[in-house]
Amino acid sequence: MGCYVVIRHLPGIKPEDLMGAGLRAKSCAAEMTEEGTPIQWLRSFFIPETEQTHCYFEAPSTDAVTEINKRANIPFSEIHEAQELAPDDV
Amino acid sequence: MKDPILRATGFAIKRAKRRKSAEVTKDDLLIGSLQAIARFDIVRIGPLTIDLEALGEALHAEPDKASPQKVAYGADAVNVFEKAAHIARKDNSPKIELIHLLVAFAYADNGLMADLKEKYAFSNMEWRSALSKWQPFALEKQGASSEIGERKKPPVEVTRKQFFSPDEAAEFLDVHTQTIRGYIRTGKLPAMRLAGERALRIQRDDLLALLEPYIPEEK
Repeated sequence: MGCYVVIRHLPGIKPEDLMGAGLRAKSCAAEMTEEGTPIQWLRSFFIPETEQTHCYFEAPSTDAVTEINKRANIPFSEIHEAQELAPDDV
Repeated sequence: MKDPILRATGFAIKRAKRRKSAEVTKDDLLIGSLQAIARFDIVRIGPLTIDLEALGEALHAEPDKASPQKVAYGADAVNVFEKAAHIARKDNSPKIELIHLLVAFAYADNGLMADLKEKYAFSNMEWRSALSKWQPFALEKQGASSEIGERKKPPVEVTRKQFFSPDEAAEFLDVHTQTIRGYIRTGKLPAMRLAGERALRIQRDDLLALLEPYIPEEK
């Protein structure tokens, strides 16, 4: 399992739209996990200045992350594998 | 136990798969939400009783797992999520709950919800009114209850608690959650936030301080 970041450019997005998208992502993660592709939405950061959202997923592959975003009907511009670094790791 | 709203979305996705559709529609979402609160395929929301079996929507067995079908949320379902999110914010809820999804359907004037309104003869206002008596505490604690509109006495252990969420405080005093939130907003009832969280907690003593003796007026 790896960590992936999904970058979205969502001009004019409202906080409630992010709530709805988050719930769709959670429900699709539950469905894909049940189907045999374990995937989890970890967290998201919204950057108002750039109108970008960075969403982190734990997933087996880039394809799985692409799939969950398509199923949840959340537009995205890029998906990259990411490496997690936390204060406890250094 | 699975979050009620995830049960609802899970049922919605499975309904789309049974229909062999590539899209989860708002009708799938409505039926999924009703299935999540049904008992023996009967949904009771206040005075409204909806028979899912009569609608041909009784809970089915799982679809064939050997050929998992990929389904995505369609544009009309996305609109319902957005409406539900808007309703949740108006309800001062930090997250979308199943009730917000159900309230979002009050405004639907086509599809399955329009059919339900006609078949069971209820209006937008009557749907919202029935849901306004929702007891999420009862649903979460007791699983998928079908009796949304019925007030239930709080379990004994709740009355011994020192800190209450707004929903639990409403149960404790047998008033509506919005009454408690109104008291908090106007400063009548002190409340605290959990550090770094949106969740509110109210002290038992502050709830009891709201009660005052009733003295009948002399004629």
